Amino acid sequence: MSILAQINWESFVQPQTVVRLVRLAILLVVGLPLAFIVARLVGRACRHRYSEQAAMIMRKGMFYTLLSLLTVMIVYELGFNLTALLGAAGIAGIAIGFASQTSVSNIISGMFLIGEKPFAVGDVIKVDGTTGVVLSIDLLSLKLRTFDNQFVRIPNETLMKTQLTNITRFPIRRIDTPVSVAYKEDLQKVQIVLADVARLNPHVLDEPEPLILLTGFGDSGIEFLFAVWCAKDDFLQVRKTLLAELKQRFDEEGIEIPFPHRTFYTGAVTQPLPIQIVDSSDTTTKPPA
Amino acid sequence: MDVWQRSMLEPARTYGWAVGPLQLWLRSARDELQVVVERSDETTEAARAASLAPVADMPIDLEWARWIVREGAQLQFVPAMPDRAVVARPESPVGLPSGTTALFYVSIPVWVRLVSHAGEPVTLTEVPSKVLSNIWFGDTMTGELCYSLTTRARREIRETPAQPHRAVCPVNVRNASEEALDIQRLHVHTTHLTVYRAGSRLWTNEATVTLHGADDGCRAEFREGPPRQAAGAATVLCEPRQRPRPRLWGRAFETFKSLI
Repeated sequence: MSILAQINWESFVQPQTVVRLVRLAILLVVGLPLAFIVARLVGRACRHRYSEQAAMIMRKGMFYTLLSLLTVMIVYELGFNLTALLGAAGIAGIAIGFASQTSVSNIISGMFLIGEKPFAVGDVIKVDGTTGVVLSIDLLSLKLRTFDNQFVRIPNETLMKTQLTNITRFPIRRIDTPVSVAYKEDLQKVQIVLADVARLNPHVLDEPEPLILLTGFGDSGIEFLFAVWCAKDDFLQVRKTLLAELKQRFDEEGIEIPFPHRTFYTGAVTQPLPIQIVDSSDTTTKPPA
Repeated sequence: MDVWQRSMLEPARTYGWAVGPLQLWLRSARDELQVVVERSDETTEAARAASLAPVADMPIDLEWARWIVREGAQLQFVPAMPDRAVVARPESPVGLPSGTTALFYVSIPVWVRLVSHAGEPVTLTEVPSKVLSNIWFGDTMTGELCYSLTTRARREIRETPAQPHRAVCPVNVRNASEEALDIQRLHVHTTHLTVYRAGSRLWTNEATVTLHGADDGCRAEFREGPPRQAAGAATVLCEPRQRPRPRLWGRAFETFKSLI
């Protein structure tokens, strides 16, 4: 007799089994799509009130919560003893907890980051020497796109522990440019020229006013700090054009930008230094003039 | 001829149009309009107003911008207000005692819109008659990006010469606070202004800024219709970019508290 003929099929088609199977089917067919829909609705509602990342967290949290509930209901319908399962899950949970310390730390760090809002999607931030645009803030990590188009993943735990700079948090930025001029230059003229260069660049803000500060007497020239403000969107444009305009204007005005040099002298009143010319191809040396 | 009226361009001819420091060179092909923008010094060309006319020569080595237009479309130049608020300064800070109102005239360079008329009007582009510098109105953390006006806000209209590329906005500043204030800057929401022509001058509607205290903010209101100072019948040349909300709260001008 075949194995199929030996099975007591009547035990499978008992009314309570059929009811159970129908309930299971309903749970799967209705429950899963319902979990998706509810999660999306929650995400959409949160997006209007809160940030994109908060909406994403709420959506995923709702979905996994409903999925867990659905799983418990399915397990119950299949007739398993939930108490025993929970007990086993508790023991497994301890083991999993030890193994996933870092992941849990990242998740909790992510929640704190979302609450604190040190940055948002689209901001340019610098973390641990890496500068990039924030692509997404996820449960475990942050995703950045660097300016040379590399993808960087930074664990949330790292963000909580290190210094983070949000470069585009505020609407305007200051561009600091050290400028050095020769000692022979008229300082007042240099300051007038610097102010004029800033004034003529339409992307440089008239207010806050540019800062022109004499910062010191360097080895090769007098040093200034030339700091101008611009809207954060104009940062690259100003950076690109300002230095070229400055150089051009200095050339027009005859203002020298010194290169590093050293002056040798032996005292207040000096004699010419003796120089001996040595020709490597000639074994004899010529005496100094 | 009126610089702001509609005109028809004949194909394969070069035209010139100018207002103030802004010079446009235009060419029309079958369904294409080509435009070159050139600017000169405002101090020498402030009074220039040349309506659209054919030209024999034009500068070379300029970059043409091109738009597709309907065949047979007429072209019109429309003076519009800048796309951002402007900040003007009085010649020197003006002390405004409590309960008093001061009137200022702010001369604002217009943006020139190129509008193609073939059925529904279509705005092709707009260019500023004068390139204005940026200024930040606020502190380093919050504020608004505005344009900075090089001309001063005047107390008398006769101190503001009529220039074809500038529209004058009368701004009433009312001190409704308990203390005297020094007016150092005026922040004008040009996006809410309508451009009118009355006589030889471009005007905008009147703006009134009421200050309720340095810590209580201020309220800006925009009067409908041409300003009272505009002599003669006024015609609307350009509607505002945005309709003002009934109550516009904001820091309309920077003040400095002073005691009298």
